[in-house]
Amino acid sequence: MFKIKQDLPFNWINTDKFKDMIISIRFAVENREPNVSMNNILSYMMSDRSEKYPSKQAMSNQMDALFGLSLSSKTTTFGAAHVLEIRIRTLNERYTDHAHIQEATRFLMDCVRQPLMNDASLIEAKKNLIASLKRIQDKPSHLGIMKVCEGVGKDTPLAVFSQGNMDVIESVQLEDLKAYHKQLMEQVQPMILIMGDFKGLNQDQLRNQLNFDQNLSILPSAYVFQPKHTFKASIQKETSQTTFTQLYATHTAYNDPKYLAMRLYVIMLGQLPNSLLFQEIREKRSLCYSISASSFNFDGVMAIQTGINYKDIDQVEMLIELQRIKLAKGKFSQALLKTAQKMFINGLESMTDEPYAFLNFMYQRGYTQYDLDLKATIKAIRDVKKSDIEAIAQQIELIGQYTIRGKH
Amino acid sequence: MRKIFKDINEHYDVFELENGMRLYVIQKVDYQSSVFYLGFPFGSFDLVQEVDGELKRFPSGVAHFLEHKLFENPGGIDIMQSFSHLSCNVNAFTSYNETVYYFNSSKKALQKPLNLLLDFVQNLSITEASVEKEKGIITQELRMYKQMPEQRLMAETYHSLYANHPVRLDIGGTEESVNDTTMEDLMDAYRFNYHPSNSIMVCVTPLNPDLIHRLVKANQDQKSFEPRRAIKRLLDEEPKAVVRPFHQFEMDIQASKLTYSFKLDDYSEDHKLNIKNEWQYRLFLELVFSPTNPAYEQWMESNRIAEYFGYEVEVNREYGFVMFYGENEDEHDFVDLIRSSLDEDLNKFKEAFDLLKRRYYAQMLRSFDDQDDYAITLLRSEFSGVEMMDSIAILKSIQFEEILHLGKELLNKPTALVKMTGLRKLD
Repeated sequence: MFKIKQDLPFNWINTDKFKDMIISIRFAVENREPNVSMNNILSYMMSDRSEKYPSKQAMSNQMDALFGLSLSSKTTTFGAAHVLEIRIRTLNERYTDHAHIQEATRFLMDCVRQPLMNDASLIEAKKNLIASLKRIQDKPSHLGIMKVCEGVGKDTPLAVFSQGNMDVIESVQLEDLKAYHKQLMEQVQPMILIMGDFKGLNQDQLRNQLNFDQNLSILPSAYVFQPKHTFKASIQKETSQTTFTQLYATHTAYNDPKYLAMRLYVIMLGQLPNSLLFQEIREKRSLCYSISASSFNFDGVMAIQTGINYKDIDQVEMLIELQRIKLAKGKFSQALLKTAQKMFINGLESMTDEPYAFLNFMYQRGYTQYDLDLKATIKAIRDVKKSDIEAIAQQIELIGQYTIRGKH
Repeated sequence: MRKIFKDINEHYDVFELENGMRLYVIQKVDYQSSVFYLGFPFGSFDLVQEVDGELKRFPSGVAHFLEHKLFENPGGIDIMQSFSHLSCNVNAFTSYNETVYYFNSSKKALQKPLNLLLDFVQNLSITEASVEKEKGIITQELRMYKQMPEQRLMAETYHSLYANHPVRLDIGGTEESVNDTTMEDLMDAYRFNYHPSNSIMVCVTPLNPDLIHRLVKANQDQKSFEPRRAIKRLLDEEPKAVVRPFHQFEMDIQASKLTYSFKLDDYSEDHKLNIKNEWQYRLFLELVFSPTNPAYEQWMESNRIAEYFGYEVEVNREYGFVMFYGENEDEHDFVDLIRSSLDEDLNKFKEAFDLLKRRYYAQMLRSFDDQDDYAITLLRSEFSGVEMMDSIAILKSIQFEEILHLGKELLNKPTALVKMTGLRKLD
């Protein structure tokens, strides 16, 4: 189904399963400001205009001419690393009336190497990124997570918001940005992922087109957040419900032997319909519509978030704590663990049906250089025992709480 | 019956069961997982129905409420938990025109989850107490959506455009209508609308379609159902005029937003015409209101639009609209931008028009790679009575000359302007 060749920085995934060819280029830098804001500005600019296609119209026309090519860019946090990704997605050549992948690759490289960087394009990028940050903060669920991470993680990567900082973005000058871009092009070897039907494709030529001529250096990414203090804050907003967010240190590294047990713990606590939080707080007591737990795997933290009536907050907080105690004392069924294992494995097995999910898996495998062999991982998930979950549950520590008190 | 689409390398098999249920199986041998979607043409618009000649009224949000309650089984067994035990993710959604239940699994043994899906959807078991208990959960769900700025803006826009059509109501209803919903409402809604002959199942799987058919048939052959009822959705007549030409409201947000919408009246009973009409609008709007138009860049430079700018278009058998949304603080300037651009001479876009059709064609091809997208699109197409592949043919058939008049026509339609501001912006 997939023929995979990983000769870093290149990851070749040969498959005729999908109609598209995807080429993804990912630059990793240290997760701190101003890197993060710079990455976000570049992310906007690289997918906006280039020196070769200096107007939005020229970009749009060229993408349409390349069979509806889609060009997109985004930034993501991988713990202590911040990643700028730019990618194209275009039809495999068997669905088009002429070969176009080389031209599409040229187009991508023009956008990466020579984005249109001038005063006007910088002003536009800044304006839109700041507006986007405001929109994110207008959503209580996002605001809750942002604020609790900021409060707990002061001066650590945890406090750095992946989409940038308004003040830093505002202060960036054109010359700084150009210097940052130059540094990125000359000093950071990106990881390159290519997925599609390689039949009839000249891979050597493609490799030459995508060459950056640097040695891949792997920056530290996964780390374990060590809390120095706890944080608790509350604000009032005119929202229709109260958003309650709690943050926990898992004290579990990405390469820790207990890592998979930690993932299963989070699933059992709040990622399934039969998870303890969902059952106790929604199903039994109708206190919320959604309650979930999620782990930030590269930081060693976990969050629980729910939307409730403010009058119920003490009860909900107490019930969350009781579910955590149940897991720590082993007062849960073997069936819950088994279900969590099955669902975790189901997710991994289904990954090969979603091109981006599989590309992300390949990226993590290449970037972290941990052995992420699927079969071995699935076996390790099956081997997790009840006592492993108890051990994880006992080391998890509440470190932050943020409440957005609404009208209800 | 097998339907083959050679040029795009796609095919699917269609089966009709004795009880009238239609089954569509899309075999994708390279895929690891299977998805099953079971849908009924009963959505949030179905509030007044003629059932065997008699009139039945439901509180708004009843289809969504029913979707919640179907996940409860006799004996208190939680359906979601049962799926989880079988390594399957299960969920459901209610939209304007349909309610759909679905699961996915990476396993090859599908009989148990498939039976579970068919059995829970074909067996409503509720009590007064369980109906009451659900009201708290649904209320929280409604409140969650209400505090999402974009959703709220859209909801207020529909309120401005429509006086009677249920599109003006939230899919989940209101807190009041949810509290007014009774067990009897839910049971009636279920009896009238969940007959298997109304339903469509779509499966995307690596397994053999005949095998899937045998599994579904074995389940259905064991069951008997009440006779099917004749059901018709009834709607009050919708006036051509909008309800509120201008409406302003506040939310606790930093980024003010607005919509400017045109209410259409040229929709048709022939849904192929609606699809064509919608494609024509899409092509026209994309040419004028996207980077394809050189003016777009100037609008952005002069702060008349921002990245959060775009349009929505919908043309179906019951209503139609074109809606623009953006973040301009000056609503008069925003309206002026839209109206003056609608009046533009389109002839300069002739070349871009052909390229744009190529883009949309590629997007449609791409959607066949996504199991969920494919299944939902096929299900909706079959409910609408127009085959999904017809939509591709319709797109290909559209000529540039057919869209030249659309802008000027829009200028004569009734409009609604809705502005959402932060709290401090209002006196």
